[in-house]
Formats: sequence, structure tokens, C-alpha cells
Amino acid sequence: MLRSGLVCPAIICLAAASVAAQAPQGGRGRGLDPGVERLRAFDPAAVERGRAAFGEKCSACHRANARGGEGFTGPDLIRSVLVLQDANGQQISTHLQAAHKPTIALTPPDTSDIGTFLHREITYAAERTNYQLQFAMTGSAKAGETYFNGAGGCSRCHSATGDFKGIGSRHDGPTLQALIAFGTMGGGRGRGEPGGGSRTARRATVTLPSGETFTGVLVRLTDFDVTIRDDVGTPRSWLRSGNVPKVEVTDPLQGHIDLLAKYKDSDIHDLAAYLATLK
Amino acid sequence: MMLSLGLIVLPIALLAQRTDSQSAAAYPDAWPAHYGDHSGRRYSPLAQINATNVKTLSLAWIHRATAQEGDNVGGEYKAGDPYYWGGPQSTVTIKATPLMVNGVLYFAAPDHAYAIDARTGRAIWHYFWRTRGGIHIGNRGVGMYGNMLFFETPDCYLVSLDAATGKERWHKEIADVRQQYFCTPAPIIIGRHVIVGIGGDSLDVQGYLEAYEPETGERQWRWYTTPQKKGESGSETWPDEYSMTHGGGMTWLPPTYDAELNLLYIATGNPNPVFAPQSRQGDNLYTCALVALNPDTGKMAWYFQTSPHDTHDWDSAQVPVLIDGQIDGRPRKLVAQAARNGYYFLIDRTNGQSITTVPYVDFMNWSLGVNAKGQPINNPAKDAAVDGVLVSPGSATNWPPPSFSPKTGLLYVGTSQSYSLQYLTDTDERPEGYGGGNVIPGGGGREGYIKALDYRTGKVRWRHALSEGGAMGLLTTAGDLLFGGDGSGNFVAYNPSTGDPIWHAGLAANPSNAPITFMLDGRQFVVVGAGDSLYAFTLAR
Repeated sequence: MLRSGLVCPAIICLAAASVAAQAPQGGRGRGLDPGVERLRAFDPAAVERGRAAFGEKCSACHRANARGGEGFTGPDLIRSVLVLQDANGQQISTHLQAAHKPTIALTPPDTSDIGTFLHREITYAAERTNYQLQFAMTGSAKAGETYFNGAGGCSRCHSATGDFKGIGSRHDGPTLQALIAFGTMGGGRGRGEPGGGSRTARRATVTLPSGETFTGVLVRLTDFDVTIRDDVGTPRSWLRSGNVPKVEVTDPLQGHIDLLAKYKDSDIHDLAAYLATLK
Repeated sequence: MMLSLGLIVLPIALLAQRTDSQSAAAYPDAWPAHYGDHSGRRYSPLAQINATNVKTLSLAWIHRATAQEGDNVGGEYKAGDPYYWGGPQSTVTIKATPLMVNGVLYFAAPDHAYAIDARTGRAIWHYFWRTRGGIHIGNRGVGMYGNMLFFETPDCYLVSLDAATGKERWHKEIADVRQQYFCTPAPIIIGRHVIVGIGGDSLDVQGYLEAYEPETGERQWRWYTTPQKKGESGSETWPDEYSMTHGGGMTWLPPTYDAELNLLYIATGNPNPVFAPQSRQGDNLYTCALVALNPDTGKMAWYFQTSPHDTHDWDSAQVPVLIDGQIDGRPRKLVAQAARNGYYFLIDRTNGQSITTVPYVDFMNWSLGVNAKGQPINNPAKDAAVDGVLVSPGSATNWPPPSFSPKTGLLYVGTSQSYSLQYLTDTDERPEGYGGGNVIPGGGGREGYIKALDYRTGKVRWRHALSEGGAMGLLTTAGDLLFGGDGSGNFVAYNPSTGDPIWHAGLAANPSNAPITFMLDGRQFVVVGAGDSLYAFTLAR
């Protein structure tokens, strides 16, 4: 089946091309992913017409997904240099009308739609931030419940009848797995996060040489300075030298971090299956 | 006065006549090649700035690079053309390592090349390239031969400029942006060869490395990173010609070079399709490998594959650092790499034989261990799956270059003990592109460090925890200093023996390139890029 979804679930977005392959050094802001824009630029109706026309006229040789392969005489059109070098369907149209062997009877609108369909498929393959997960739950809810209340220690912070009530209705499987593993997914994307944890929700207690202490949300901690926002919202910062002033950090995600090197994949799958039952 | 000026300027002026491999190491006051010299060590013998006086290191100037059109404009874009896979950017991030030759800094950003006065940070010229597209993720810098500069554009042209004026001399298309290639490397000059790599792993194209004649721009050779036909060396590690000629293996990290052996060391990128390996069973040579090539012919002398049959987007595009060391009491010519897959590799650079392979991350679950050749064994249970697998490291490091100090015998690397959930999204018998991907933590699970590795054993001698980040560009000097970042916007001088920070400056952005150092008028400078600006530091007087 061809993939038709344009975007992945709201929180689960595959790491950006840049992160995966040639990671940026230092911070990097991201607006709307240009790949999303490129995919959205395709007229969905034209893509579907093209898919249908391709299925009728071309798939016997090129396969319905245009990739060719074993048992098909036509080449892979997703990797076709002719198609990749095409601009606005013009080269594809010229080729189909004049050079394609065997000759093929296509109306100009069909040709245009097929070009749109092929470019959309190529764009989908190239824009990995938009891949649609084919996730299927494979874990055991019962084993997940046991892990939740036992070896995982999840119940120390979370409750099936408290903060996790209805969590299975709020999130799909991949989102649940990300929340299980990391406690948060790229915080600030606008979805509720169980456990209320994000990297910026770490808390810190700063103890000055005088013994005076200040506690609040940790904003920034380096070798040279520390900033917290106290409980009335006032930012406070101090310069640091060595371990002066002393800074003690508590991370609500520590339980998640501690499990990362211990998980079997089946633990995560089981936990997701269990949480999915909490409707 | 004139005499001393002459003594200082003369060698650099000579250098400008021939900025190639032989001269690069001979002029420590300059930074004439991407890594300073071609060893990849990023170690400077300069010691005016040192552990004793570094606390007086002060800002000399800031240069903010503009993303506007420059004095000189080139490019193949024609009005009305579509942009392929990317377009012009409104901002600049400096990831390039600048060159400093004859008092001028030369650097680049996607679609831009710049020359500025190294003493003052004032602009000299600016060249702007009108792009046809390509992913504008970064540019690692320029190469220089005599008065000629060379840089690559995101739409994969090699552009040669006159170093004095920034006027274009010629440009050549080195890869087809329409096939989703994009180009980021800094060209490396070896003799009369401009060594040029390419990038782009989104659409299963093939990787290659090329050499061009600096004067004319004529291509001298092309070395494909994958075999082209059945029967060729390495073809036995692919199922068929179709998979090997769509098998990736990009060359996006500038190579290093040993002049005595006349060997170029290129670290190749990941195979394609990236996370969906069902159409490319086998080791997939020569992707994710360290390969030694003759720079005159492009012929391979040896290879060592650091991630056979990579299924995790490891790339191996981390700097091959050339170390002249001692193993078991004998002097050896070595090449070391702290790879993105979490392993440290030490290899005899004369023949490619493994000496040491050892993890430098605390936890690793994608590998079943190391085989008799010193290569990691992929754990197929950790290949991307439809229901997700948790893989560590997510990315132990990346392209930002490490540094090796012969004074301490330590290789310094910015690293991250990270995790990712990896999903297979393309289950077709012929997957395309990445075919899957990472879900990475937004919070915990990505702890970063600078680690100092004993080059002989790979053992971690010390680590310094970072509050943010991991991979970073590093520089060591004979002044007993290690320069780098901290992931929180500070440029830091660390003690290379302990990792303790001893000086820092807060910048407007995180350091985004690798720092360099040079001497001008008797004063040592350290220059680092952060965001759209270069910052220069020198001792207060």
C-alpha cells in the first residue's frame, strides 16, 4: 500500500535530516520544516488522479509504487534521473509522448497527474522528517502492567488512576513509547506530557557560602554561572567558581534516564501496550 | 622595524604562493589548510597564549557575516527556475573553519565566501552565489592554492575565486542537485589537486570523491565509494549492481593526508537506504569506512570499514586524525578516529591494519562486539523496527573535529551518551531514502562530555560533563590549552591534562565551528565562529 499520510503524529517526528546526518553544532532554531512545505505544495487531488492513472497504465511494468523490482520490466521511477531532473512535469511529458517504449496512450491531463504523483512520491522518500510510522502495538499489556508496578518502578511517580488516567486515549503508540523512554518529546510542542517533566523543569537549590539557600526551576547551569527562576517567578543568577555556590539539581526525569541502559525493547513495547489500555 | 616586519611577512607571503600540503605544516603562524595542517590533529605549536596567561585573553574584534548579496555574484540560478530541495537562506551560521593566510581570514557559509582582515575583523570582500537549491545545512570552509580559493555550494558547484579580489575564476558542477546531492565540504589542496567531496543521502544516490586541477578546473579523477559493477572489488558485499550504485557513502568530511606516504584518508558516509537495509544485505563496501587513496590517481591503497552494514546512520564522517606515535615501544604511523557509532579506532595508516577498537561511550547496545579484524559487529536485533527499538548511542559525536595534542598524547572529543528510538517506516522490498528514522529525546538521555582518550588504548583519561551539547570543534596548543565550547554559549579554554575550565567568554551563540589560532605582528590570536559571527581573542596589553 502506498503511503498517503503527509505528517507523522504530532509529537513523534523523526529526527530532522540535519540532526541525523550532519548534525548542527550548537543551537539551531527550526521553523516549519521545509519538507512539510514541499509536501503540502502537491495538489492532493492531482496526486490521487495520478496514482490512479499510473496504476492503470504504468504499474504492470513499474509496479504500483513506481519502484520496479523483481518481476517488473520497467525501471524504478523514484530513482530515475529523468524524473528527478524533470521540472514541472515537462520532461516527463515529453518523454511519455515522444520517447517512451512501448508507446503509451495518455491524455495530457493524465501525463501531468502522473508527473505530480511521481514527484510527490520522490518528495516523500526524500523528506524523512515527514515519514509516516507504520507502528503496530506488539507488546503485552499484562507484562507491561507488571513492569510498571515492579521492575520499572514507574508507579513510584505515576498512577494508572491518577496522572495516567486516560493516557491511552490521549496518545498513540509511538508517542507513548517516546514518553516512556525519554519522559518528554521535544518539549513545548503543545501536547500534554505525563509526569510533567521536561528538561527545563529540573529544579535546583543554590547554597551560597553564607549558607543562604535559593530554590527554583533551573534555567541555566554552566561551569561559570547558574540561573534559577524562583517560585514567585523571579529570575536569579550567580557566577560560579568551582563548586561555589553549591548547586544541587533534581531532575523529574531521572527515573526515565536511569532506565535507558536497562530497558529491553520488549519492556518499552509492553509498557506502551499497558498504557494504551488506560482509557 | 622594517626588518622584523619583513621577517614576519616573508614566510607568509611565500606561503601564499603555494598553500598546499608541503607548506601547510611549515608555517605554524598561519592557518593555511582546513585542519591547520593536513594531519587532522588541530594542534598548534603556538604558545604565546598559555595556561599561565590565558586569564587575560580578551576580545580583539567581532565580525558579523552578512547574508546579503556580496560585492561579487555568481551562480547558475535563472529567474523563474524552481529551487531543488532548498533555497536561499536569510541568515548565516558559520560552521566553516577559516583559513588565515598573509593576514587575511577566508571563510564560507552556504552560498557565501568571505575575506576579512585578520587583524581587525573588517570586511575585504564578499562573494555571493545564487543557488539552484540543495540543503543549506552548512559549509565547512574554503581551500587555498597560491592566490586561488575554492569552495563548494549547496547546489554542488565547485567555485574558484581570486583570493585578492573575490572575483570568480571559474565554477564547475560537481554533483546534480536535482538528484538531491548537496555539498558542504571544504576542498583540500594536495599538490596540484583540489580534493572535493560531496553529500546527500536522502535519495539513494552514490558517493564519490574527486580531484580538480586548480588552475583550469579540469577534473583529474573520480573515486566512487561503492563498486560500480559486479566483479569489482567490494561488489561481493552488495546483492546486485542496482543496490551498490544507489548505495550512498558520501564524502562530506574533508580528508587528511600523509605527505610521506602520499596517502589521503577519507572517512565515508552511511550506506543507503539508511535505516531500511533489506535491499542491501552485506557489508556494503566502501561505505562507513576509512579509506586510503593515492591523491594523484584516486586509486585505493587500503580500507578499514568502521561500520560494516551500517543500519543506524552512523556515517563515518569523523576526522581521521594522523598520529605519529609509539606502540609497544616502536614508532608507528597511526590514524585514529572517534566515530559516531561510539567506537574509537586506532589503525596503522601504512596498511589499514587495526591496532585498537574500543568503545569510548559508557553504554552501547547496537553492537555484538568486535570481530578479528577490529570491526564492530552489527546487532540485527537493534536494526530499526516497525514497533521501534531503543538504540544507544544515538550519535556519539559528529563532524565537529576533535583535537590531538602530542604533548599530552590525548585525543579530545566532544561526545554524547545519547539514545534514540529507531523506527522502520519503509518495509518495501525496495525501500527508498532513509526508510526509517530516529525519535530522539527532548529531555534526558543525551548527556554530553568532552572526553580525553589515550591514543594508544582509547581509554578515557578524563571527562568533563557539559550542561548541554556534545560534539564540538576543538583545538589544542603548545600553550597547554584546549579550546572548545560548553554547549551553553561559552567559548572555553580547558586544562588539557584535567579538563578543568580555566578561561571562558560568553558569546551571543554557541560556538558553531572549530576554533583556530595564528600569529600576526607578534601577537597570537584565537578565532572561533558562533552563529553568524567570528570572534577573535588575543592577550590584553
